[in-house]
Amino acid sequence: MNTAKLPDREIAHALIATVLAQSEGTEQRRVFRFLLGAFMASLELYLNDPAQWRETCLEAWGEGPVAPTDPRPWAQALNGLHGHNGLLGWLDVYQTPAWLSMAEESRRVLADEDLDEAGRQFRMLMVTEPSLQPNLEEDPVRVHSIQFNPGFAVDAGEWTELVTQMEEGALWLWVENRATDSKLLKQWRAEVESLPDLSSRRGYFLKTFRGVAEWRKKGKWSLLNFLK
Amino acid sequence: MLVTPATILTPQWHSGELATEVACGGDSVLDGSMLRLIKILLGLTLAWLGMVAAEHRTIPAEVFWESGFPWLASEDVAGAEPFEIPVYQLSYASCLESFTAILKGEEEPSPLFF
Repeated sequence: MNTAKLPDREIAHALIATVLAQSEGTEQRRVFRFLLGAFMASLELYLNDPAQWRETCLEAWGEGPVAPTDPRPWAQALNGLHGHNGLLGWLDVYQTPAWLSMAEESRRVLADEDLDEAGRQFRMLMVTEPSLQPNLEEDPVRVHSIQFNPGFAVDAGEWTELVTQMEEGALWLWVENRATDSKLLKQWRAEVESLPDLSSRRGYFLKTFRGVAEWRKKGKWSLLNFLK
Repeated sequence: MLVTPATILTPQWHSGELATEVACGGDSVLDGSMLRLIKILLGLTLAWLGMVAAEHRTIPAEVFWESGFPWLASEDVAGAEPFEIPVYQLSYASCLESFTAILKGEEEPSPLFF
């Protein structure tokens, strides 16, 4: 599901979390179709008042095995939606409705230079960490783009600068290398991805990186050094 | 036309600034907020090139089958491997038309959707 449009994100998050909280497939399909119908019947209301939509979803949640306070379905929904956005971003699918053809065994990821301007911008928005993206409603005048290498060591001043940029809002992408593939980093990322909403994920990012920045006074160190 | 500054960070995040003129419009499905960000971000394009791996990459079809949502179909579609997977957007009119037709039984839903 393409959630490039910001109002869609909260709507889709509550919708998918409610569906995932259902005990089995039949009930999931029933709840999904019911909520989709409810959404379409009051489209403008819900898009302008996501809290109202959340209430509607919670009413449909039911007495299943998972309570609405359980973070798991919320986290799973967020991960699924970000996963969809990431795939669409890498594949340059930014028009909807669209059809992903499965005619070939794999789909090629276009290089950035093969994309047009809109495609490059769309990719940046879709594949970067959503919890760190700036608040677009506030018309930010500066946006930081960060490709982060968890194995790269820098000094306290640079760590502090990075934290400031994260606090201001950033388009954050992990550099894919051996450091990113390490067990420690995977474990840390899994902890982030177990959190139920973007706000708590952003808080986890900032708490960790503030800790990294304050870890030592001299020398250089990496995120991986800190996590060890 | 708009002139906006943006901070650019290279892979190890050193920063600089760019100002650029941007024309937005066309048939983008992005909303106003996203378009505003796109205006801001246009200056980042050169930094982005080469930062994101330009290497040839592919995504196996299995990833789509495993990631697609199955709930529009009226019956369990576990293991279904559709030839095409539709991509929807909740606030986009054409998608809503499809949803309406599916819920009314006038359109056959795909076993999986994005």
